[in-house]
Amino acid sequence: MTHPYSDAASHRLWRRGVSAFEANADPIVNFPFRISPSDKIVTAGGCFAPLIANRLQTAGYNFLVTEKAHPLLPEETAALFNYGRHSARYGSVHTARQLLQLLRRAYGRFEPIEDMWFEGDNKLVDPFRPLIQPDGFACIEEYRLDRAQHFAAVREAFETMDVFIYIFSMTECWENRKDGAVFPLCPGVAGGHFDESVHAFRNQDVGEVVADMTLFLEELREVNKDLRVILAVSPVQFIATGSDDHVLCASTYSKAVHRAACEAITKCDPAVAYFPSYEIIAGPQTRGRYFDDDLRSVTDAGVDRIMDLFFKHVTDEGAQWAASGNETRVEIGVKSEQVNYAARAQSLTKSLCDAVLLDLGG
Amino acid sequence: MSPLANGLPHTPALIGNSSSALIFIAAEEAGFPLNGAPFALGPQPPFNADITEFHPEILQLLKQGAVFSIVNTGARDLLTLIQHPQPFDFILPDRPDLPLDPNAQLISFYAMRDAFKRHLNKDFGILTLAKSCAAGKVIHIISQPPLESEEIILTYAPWQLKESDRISSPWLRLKAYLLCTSLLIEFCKENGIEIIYPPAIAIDDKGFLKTDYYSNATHANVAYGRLVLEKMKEWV
Repeated sequence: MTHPYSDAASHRLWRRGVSAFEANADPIVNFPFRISPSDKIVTAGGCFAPLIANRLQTAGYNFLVTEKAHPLLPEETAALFNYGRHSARYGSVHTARQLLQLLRRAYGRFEPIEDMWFEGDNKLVDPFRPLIQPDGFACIEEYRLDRAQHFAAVREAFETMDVFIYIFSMTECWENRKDGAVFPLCPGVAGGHFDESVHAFRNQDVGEVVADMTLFLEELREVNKDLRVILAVSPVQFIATGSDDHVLCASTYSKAVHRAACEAITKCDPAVAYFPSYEIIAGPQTRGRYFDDDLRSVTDAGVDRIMDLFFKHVTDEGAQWAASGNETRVEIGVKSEQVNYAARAQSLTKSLCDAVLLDLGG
Repeated sequence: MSPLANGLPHTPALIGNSSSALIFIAAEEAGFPLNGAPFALGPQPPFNADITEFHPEILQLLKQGAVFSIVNTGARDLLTLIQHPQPFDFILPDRPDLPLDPNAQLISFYAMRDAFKRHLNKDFGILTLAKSCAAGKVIHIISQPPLESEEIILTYAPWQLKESDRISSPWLRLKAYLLCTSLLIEFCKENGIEIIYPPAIAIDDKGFLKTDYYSNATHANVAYGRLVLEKMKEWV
């Protein structure tokens, strides 16, 4: 007698698809499209997104950065001020609602009431990217101009990318009760002041996440209709929960909601695919080996495993391109221009110093 | 290197780069005893690579008395004299009146500050070493502000520049100067180093060096050196 499982492919059966391979289990089946090294890739999400972006860049993929540090800034300064971690300096975008809000703010369709946070006399914090500047902004004019520059970079990223990778991070967020603006961090944690009459805790459910993400994709396609989208769920667990639940339960809820939301979205949209980074790291086949000592962060080996499978299933030419030594094709021109400028500036200042020293008989 | 030394005890020393030349000339004219030599005169800097030891000859001079410093490794000129191919600008929060180039990439003040601090690390290192070696007070002379005129600067801009190179706007150069100066003042105050400010008479209403006091695009002249020398005398 036959039934739907009698001649099922190995990947459909736990014994053959998981137990047999243990940590080497590969859960990706028929990824719907491929990306090439020339595709412009934009990433967003929580702290896991920059790890993926970094690996893509290192492998020679075209990680699009539209808000670059000025070449004058030393690398250490650029890193400190969060240039290059994400495609633009939007910082962590934990929730689908925050992502939708970012798009609407960048296009002037939403202006939150709670626009800036002040800390003492000399620190102004952007409520929507509170950690982007270690010491905040120095004055209101700078804040506004920097934000205009930032939104232009966000628009450029959204309009010119070929592939958007969004890694869902959290369902929990804090919002302004009046206009519903959501913050990546609770007011008071890294700026601002928490006020229960102004701020409310929100923990999104599947319906809300799907609705926000669907709206985001609809509005994004108004400016970029041929876009391909990859959704993933961050395997990084919560540091803390704003709910009264145990943090393990709260974290699991969030992952489950996002996993279900991804399924709902990808089933209706052929240009959106799900990449199972969560399963690769947190599935029982790994026996927890990809979690760090804190049991929530992902080790480098875990990121390696995700990217190995990503390159295998989502790209055609990844390995060949990286091997050809073309990893830094975009940056080379910028670097050499900067080196020439620095050399000319150094040569000029030295010759002016020499001229003065001649007066002393040097 | 051959440090200038009169061999007299309790003679103050001056350490610094090319900018110290004008003060040595002014001191010689005035018969003011001053030990030292511009660092740039010798084949090698008078300190080791990690700036933890001075050359023994310099060390000897620093142990005579007060030590004046006009150390300036040129961070602001390196970063802002020639206009960068990707123009940039920043807002100085204490001087919101200074114009901002609307077509330039805005760099936040704190990012500029961090970048300048890193470029000034060598200056800070030399000052720290001087403070640890000096027998008397260490007094840092804040260097003169920039010239406003791009035309004058261009006449001193020699063969190193490309035809397309431009001099940065005077406002950007002034802001860079003020930022560097504030970082140096902050450092000196934190480390017990006294400060000599630029003579007010040499500075115009907008904050630039008056044209009576320049020697080339980035240096003051001996007339300026004489003004600084008068301020130095107050410390000896």
